[in-house]
Amino acid sequence: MLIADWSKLPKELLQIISEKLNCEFHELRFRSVCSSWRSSSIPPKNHLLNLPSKFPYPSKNNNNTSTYPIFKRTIFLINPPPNQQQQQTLNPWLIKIGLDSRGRTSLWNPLSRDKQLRLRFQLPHYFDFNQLSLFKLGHEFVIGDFPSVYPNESYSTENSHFMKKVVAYDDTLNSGNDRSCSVLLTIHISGKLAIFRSGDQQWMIMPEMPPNPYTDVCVFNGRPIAVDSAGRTVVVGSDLSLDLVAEAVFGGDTKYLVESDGELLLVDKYSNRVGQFRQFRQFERSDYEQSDLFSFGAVDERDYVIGIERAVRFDVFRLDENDKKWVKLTNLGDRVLFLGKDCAFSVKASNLPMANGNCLIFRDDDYGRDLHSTGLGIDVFCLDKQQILPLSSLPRCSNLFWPPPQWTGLD
Amino acid sequence: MASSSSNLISLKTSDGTVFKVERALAKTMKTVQAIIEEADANIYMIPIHNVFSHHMDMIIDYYKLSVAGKSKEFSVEKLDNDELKDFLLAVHYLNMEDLFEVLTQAVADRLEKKSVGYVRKYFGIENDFTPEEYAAIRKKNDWAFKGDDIEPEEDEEKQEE
Repeated sequence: MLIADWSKLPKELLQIISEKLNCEFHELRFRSVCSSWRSSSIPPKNHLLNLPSKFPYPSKNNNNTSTYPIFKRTIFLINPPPNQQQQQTLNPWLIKIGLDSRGRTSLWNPLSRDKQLRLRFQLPHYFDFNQLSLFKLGHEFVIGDFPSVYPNESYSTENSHFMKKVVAYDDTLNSGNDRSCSVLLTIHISGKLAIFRSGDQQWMIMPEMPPNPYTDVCVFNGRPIAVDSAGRTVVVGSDLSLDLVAEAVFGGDTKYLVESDGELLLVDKYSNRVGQFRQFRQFERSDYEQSDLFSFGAVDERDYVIGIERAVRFDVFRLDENDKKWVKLTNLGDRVLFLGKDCAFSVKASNLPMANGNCLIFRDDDYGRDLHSTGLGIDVFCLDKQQILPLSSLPRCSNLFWPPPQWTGLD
Repeated sequence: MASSSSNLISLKTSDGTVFKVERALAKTMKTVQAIIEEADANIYMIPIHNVFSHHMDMIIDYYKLSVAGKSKEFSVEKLDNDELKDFLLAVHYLNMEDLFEVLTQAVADRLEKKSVGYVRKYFGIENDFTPEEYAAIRKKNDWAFKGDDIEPEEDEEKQEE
């Protein structure tokens, strides 16, 4: 008869099990259970191995001296503790948590870059994550000072505004050496890709000028992937070559990449320009060349025009890797896609819980938004009705984000 | 005559039951396969210690489903944690690759959404860290990257237990 109890499972078994956990947060818990579990598992993966703690913004003229800290934020779905579930169906809570520039753990609007969510209490309060059921939905990296020091965050002339999504992946070229390294990939405002590797001082802007500017990047199955505004999708090789993953679809204005249920999806956003404004820069910084600013319609280096865009509809495609084509999807089934400024992820409607999936939750940029509105600014696009609804019109959905559910004790 | 030409292999579980299984199924058990290859003479009965008849029943179920291309339908949900653990150890002993993957993932999934206290309680594990060790673990940043990463335990109160 087997007498081994769970704490004394063979080390190799414990190690294999720990490797199958969903995120580093669960790996940390695994390692906190007892000493033999702790010694059988490897410490969780660090996404930013051997990279500096501060980065300049990507720029063509590399005389940037200003550097900004990088923060990793994680999006979790928190489920109520099991013993409370008997009374009613309690809402889970979807949060984005990460440090702010002062090193304090903060909650953020899950789909925005710089909007914090403030809890009501002032006194020191502790929230014990160890006792809750958590599921990691995604993570993001942001470079800059958040929250911004400028009062009008949406109209901040801080250059962090120009930063696009940043993703991190393993540098396979260096994997032969002792130390493993991470590489950052983002999009420069000219629309070209930019890379930062361990040992670099500046971002390297990849010289290849695509026919259309790149609009999104992601890491899929460990590989860095980029898509341009026409939908042409490439994978970045370890030698920085770009290989075609899928041909363009044209269609709408901006393309995004989301991983859903093990597949890579393309989201094609159609936007309407509802206005524009000219923004004067408050500083005389020359972090960007004039030619970059001109792409924003600037008259001179001191001002530029920002277009106010609102999404009108979305199309979703799935990847046919063999044919290198994006194939249109008419129904997402049970899935709900979330498009944030710096992250994108997919959740099963039954986990949320939402009655139906087949929708896309997103947030338009803050320009042109009433600064005094207190809502989250999140909207929902339903694929079946091809219609956009504000989050507030779907209370079950809205309760997922804010205010914190009653069972958390934080409301 | 020579049993090596037979298509069935006899396996005897530790509770004394004999299962006659197809050679193809026995081949998925690397431990059994090694025994067959080791034995020069014809071997007519292979004892499998650490495997009970209820484990063999599930192994045969899994085999039938995977042959029919339906391995995703195999579920261990109805097993409680101890039963799952025993089954995992049996499959590990038999060195069956695919089924082992399925079971380790099933265990990971059970652990995944649970808090540390819950894991200890439902898996029957004692917290053998001293209070000082445990406090150090809670404080320590397991990531090599200092400061900028999230420390999930940062804002928590000390354990009450």
